[in-house]
Amino acid sequence: MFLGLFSTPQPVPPDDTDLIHGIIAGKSSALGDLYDRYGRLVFSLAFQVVGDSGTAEEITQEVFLQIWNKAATYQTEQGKVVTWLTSVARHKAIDALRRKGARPEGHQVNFENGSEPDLVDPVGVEEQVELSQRSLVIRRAIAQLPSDQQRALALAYFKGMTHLEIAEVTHEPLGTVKTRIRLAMLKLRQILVDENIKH
Amino acid sequence: MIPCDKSEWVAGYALGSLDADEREQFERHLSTCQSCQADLRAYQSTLDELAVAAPRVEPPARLRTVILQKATRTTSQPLQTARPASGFAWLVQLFQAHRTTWAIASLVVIVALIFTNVLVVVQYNQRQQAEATPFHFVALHDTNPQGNGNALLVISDDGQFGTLITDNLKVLVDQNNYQLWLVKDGTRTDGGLFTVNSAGYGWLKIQEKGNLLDYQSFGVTVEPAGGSMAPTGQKVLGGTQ
Repeated sequence: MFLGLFSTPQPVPPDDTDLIHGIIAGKSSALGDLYDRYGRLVFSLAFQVVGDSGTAEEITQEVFLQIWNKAATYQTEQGKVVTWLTSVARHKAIDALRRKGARPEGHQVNFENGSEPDLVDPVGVEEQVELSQRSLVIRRAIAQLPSDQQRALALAYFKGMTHLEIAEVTHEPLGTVKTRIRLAMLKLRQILVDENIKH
Repeated sequence: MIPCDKSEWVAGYALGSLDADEREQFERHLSTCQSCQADLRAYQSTLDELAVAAPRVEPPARLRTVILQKATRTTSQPLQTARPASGFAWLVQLFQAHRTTWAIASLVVIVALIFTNVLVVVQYNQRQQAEATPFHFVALHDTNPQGNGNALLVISDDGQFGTLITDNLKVLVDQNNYQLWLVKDGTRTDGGLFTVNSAGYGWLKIQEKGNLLDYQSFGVTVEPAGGSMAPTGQKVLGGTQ
């Protein structure tokens, strides 16, 4: 019990908002820390959208440089920093995909199948632990969807495809595609509410 | 709230999966339907969660170093800090990161915005400006007849670069940003996100969007943090080439 009295208290790692404040102050180490936390997630999302490592790398660079340049536009009450990062990443990636004009084949896209949580930094902050838990809940929720709904949703979410484009890629009637996406979104929404993942 | 017969469009709209005609119809409907607005917010929250379900891929080890090197070569640019009380230091700061020719052109426009009503100047002098400079100008006006927000889009001669400068826009709260939309044949392309300072002044650099001269019109809407795949919020500015 005396050890506790004499041991040096461990420094509390900065949370995501602290890192944003560090970035606003021009500390590149804060940007490095943010990359260490979410670089893999951003790269993975971009890769899933564009399908090639080089473009995913460019997008990841753009995302973090945008954070570096525009961190001051982030407001704490806006929500999680990670949501901001992934939203910007998806946006940029789909934009890049459209500029390339290439349309992927349906089998090239899917959600993560694994049901294991992500590995997190052992000294990770609360956000990372929470992200890992959320990731697990989302994957389990998606796994409950029928495979045709998963595929239609993945094409819409990751590839930015319209209903019509999905119908062409999957060779399914347009009405069927619309119904699958709507049902998938309804069910996901319900599962996530039930899991109490929302706010 | 009354259940809505267009509620089945909400999920597709949130995902950006409606075609252009459906999207336009739904946007008109959305502006007046509280039930669909509430559904849209819920679906957007659900979509926010999907990113974590992307299969994990390890980025190249060098990527972190590359990002940090590039970051340290530029200065972070907080947009919401107040303008300096006097002098032109803020203008110098603003243009440090820009190409020289672009900075000169933008400088001309910003000075005009501050000291004159630049939109009037553009209207009266459009012909002379077109002859005198290699740039194209598009004025964006407040969609609210009582509003006084305005903006000027300056496009380079080859259409590859643009800068949007706004004045008198409302400072946004909550999760929102302004988002520029580039419209061609009914299709809206994201032009980028921006915020404004306490004076309603903001700017946005536009590039890698194809030839900006090919777009027929431009609009600015209020969107959630990170922007939207298609306009979801109130349109505040609009203008045509």
